[in-house]
Amino acid sequence: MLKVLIADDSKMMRVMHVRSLRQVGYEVEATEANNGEEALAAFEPGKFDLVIVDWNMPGMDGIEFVRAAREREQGAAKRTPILMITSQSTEEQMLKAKEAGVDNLLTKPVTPEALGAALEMLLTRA
Amino acid sequence: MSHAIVQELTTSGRLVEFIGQAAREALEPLCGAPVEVLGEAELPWAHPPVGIALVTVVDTSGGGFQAVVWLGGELEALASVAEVLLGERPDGEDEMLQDAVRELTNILAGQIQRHLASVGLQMGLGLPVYVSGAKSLNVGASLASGAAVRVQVSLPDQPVLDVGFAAKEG
Repeated sequence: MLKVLIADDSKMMRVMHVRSLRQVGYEVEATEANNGEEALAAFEPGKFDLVIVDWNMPGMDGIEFVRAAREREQGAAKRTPILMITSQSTEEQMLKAKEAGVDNLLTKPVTPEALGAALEMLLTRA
Repeated sequence: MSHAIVQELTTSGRLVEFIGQAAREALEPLCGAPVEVLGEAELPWAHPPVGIALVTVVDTSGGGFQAVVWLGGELEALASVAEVLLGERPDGEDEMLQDAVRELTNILAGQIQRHLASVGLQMGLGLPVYVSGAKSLNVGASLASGAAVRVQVSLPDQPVLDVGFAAKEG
């Protein structure tokens, strides 16, 4: 069972991510968050196998969440793979995401196949 | 400088091409159906579609333009597309429908951003806003440089949507 924290202000995107993961063969236990604050409240080191986070959210955005989550993980035995989903894809943004602690960044629209491939790479690396 | 590029893209017809390509790139993978560009559409300021979402765009390359990207259509068309994405049909213009249209517009804006970056325009995107049943959209009155296209998604009831981009100096 894949324990996933999904942070996205769009319910549709949260639904689609869960559906995509199931479509590529994962059994999913999803915790959903509407923004960065909610995601950070749910996030604990080692609690999730994967975090999927949207960049552009009202309030605490995805980058701020990732920075805070990585800070919380300082000294933890394991680093949670974080996959960021964004509609923006400039090189500057990709660099910013990496610096914040994002492991992989996918540009919308994200197909189930793309999500599955990214996930396989992240989980193999973890 | 940046606004001059937008004006050149508008007059040369390349902006229409970019918008059409962006619409296909945004909608086809999500809907799992081909998207056909039917032709150019009017800018929506005077007669907006019943449901429309807009994303504000800022020029981050310092050349000075403001812009919006939009996606809109009649409720039935929006509901048909949302149904494919959500797995259930929204009930009228409920939050589910608005969420789906906002998110689609956000994705469309990202694709337009990518095309415009290829000609040197660097843009940042705001959060999408859904507007319902407006008789006119004041936001667009001064956005003189722009284009819109009408697209049809090959779903059973052939929903038709308008998508576009418009900018002004500033």
